[in-house]
Amino acid sequence: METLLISCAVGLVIAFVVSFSFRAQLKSVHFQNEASSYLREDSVNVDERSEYYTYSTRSVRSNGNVSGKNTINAHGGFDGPGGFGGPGGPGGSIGF
Amino acid sequence: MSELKEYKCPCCGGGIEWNAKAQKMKCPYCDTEFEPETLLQYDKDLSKLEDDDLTFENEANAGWSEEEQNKMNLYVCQSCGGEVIADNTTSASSCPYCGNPVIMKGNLSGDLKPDYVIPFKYDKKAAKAGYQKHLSGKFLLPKVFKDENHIDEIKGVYIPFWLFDSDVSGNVIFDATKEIVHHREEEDIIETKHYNVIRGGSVSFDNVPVDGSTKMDDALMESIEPFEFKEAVPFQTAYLSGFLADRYDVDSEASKKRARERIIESTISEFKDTVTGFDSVTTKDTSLKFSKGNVKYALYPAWILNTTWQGKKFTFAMNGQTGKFVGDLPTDKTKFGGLFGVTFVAITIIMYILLKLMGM
Ligand SMILES: [Zn+2]
Ligand SMILES: [Zn+2]
Repeated sequence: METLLISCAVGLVIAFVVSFSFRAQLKSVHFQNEASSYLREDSVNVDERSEYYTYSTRSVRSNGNVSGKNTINAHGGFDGPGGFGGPGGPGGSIGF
Repeated sequence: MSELKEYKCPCCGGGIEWNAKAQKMKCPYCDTEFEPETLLQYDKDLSKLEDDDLTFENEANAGWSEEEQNKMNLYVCQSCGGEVIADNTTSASSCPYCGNPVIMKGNLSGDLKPDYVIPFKYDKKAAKAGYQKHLSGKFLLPKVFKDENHIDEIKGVYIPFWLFDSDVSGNVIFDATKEIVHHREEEDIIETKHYNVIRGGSVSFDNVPVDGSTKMDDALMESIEPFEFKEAVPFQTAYLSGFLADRYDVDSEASKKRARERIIESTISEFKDTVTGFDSVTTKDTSLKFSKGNVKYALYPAWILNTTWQGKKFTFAMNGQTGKFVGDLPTDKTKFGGLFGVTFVAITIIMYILLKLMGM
């Protein structure tokens, strides 16, 4: 019985993918998000680059299940390495 | 600590408070803690950003001369209100947007004259061939749709576009993450480190087009892009001979919002390309300043075909410069259902046999 259910589920997913990809062939009208075709040649100039660590979240995964416990620790400063597993407060829940 | 009360949590956006017990800034919503210096740094990044500003100057805003006006006729569609322009040698009889009859209305006094035009490179024959090719090889297209087409009504239309040039400069802040997996005996601990990544610089854009006609579907016009402005020539009425030209009804002022959206997206994407070495990068904040803005008015060539099928309107367009052909097509619901059913049954049977063979 379980085998049949798994087979049906896989069949359903693949049938969705196949039929909707065939239907996507019929759609060709979309807004453009960007204007990259109109970028002036050699005009991109990124001269300011910086980054710094802000905070961390942690989650525990066991046997493929995610339980949402996270502990947070943060250090300021540029390119701070950041700490791991410091004394954080009781964890909130951040999923994937 | 009242001066810090406006800090927003970089993690969830909630307001951050000083937590006396932990001696740290703490978000009461998600419990994330921060060193005050981190927040000060974040505050500094934000405060140095400038306000958005976009002004464009019209390169030319000449009207039509009296001689030109005498050579041109304005037609209006009794059905959809669409307005088209044609010269004396070309008579417009039906509306390129809805196919209904048009009547002559008057002249173009008061209208702006286009600065540039890209002449048609693909003729009607090529447009018809483009349509046939667009319909071929599409399994779910109803067969009757192909048989019932009114391909002879495909029309060459010059579409009014506002072309925007601009330099953009400023900063974008990204939230970038690195994931570290710590393997323990019975579980994995996934640590996601967040970084504020700041990129600043400048980018320039030339001739970002925005369709100046409300009758012409904006998504359809953006779908036949890009147009190569390099091939544009100063406008002359002679280019209109044999074609229709749509009359603009959206001015450059109203169109610049769209150009601006696309320019901002592109600028963010150029800056984002320089952020490497992370597992994810999302845009957090932008502050971009536009300068050296300029706007031109141009006519771009398109072949337009309207058909109605089962009470629904379908519009097709071909870029008259590049030959790119677009237009959504109807789905044959019976074929779609059949394809879905057959795939579902076939895959289910195959999976079942495979799983049985594997001993499940
Ligand atoms: Zn928060
Ligand atoms: Zn009409």
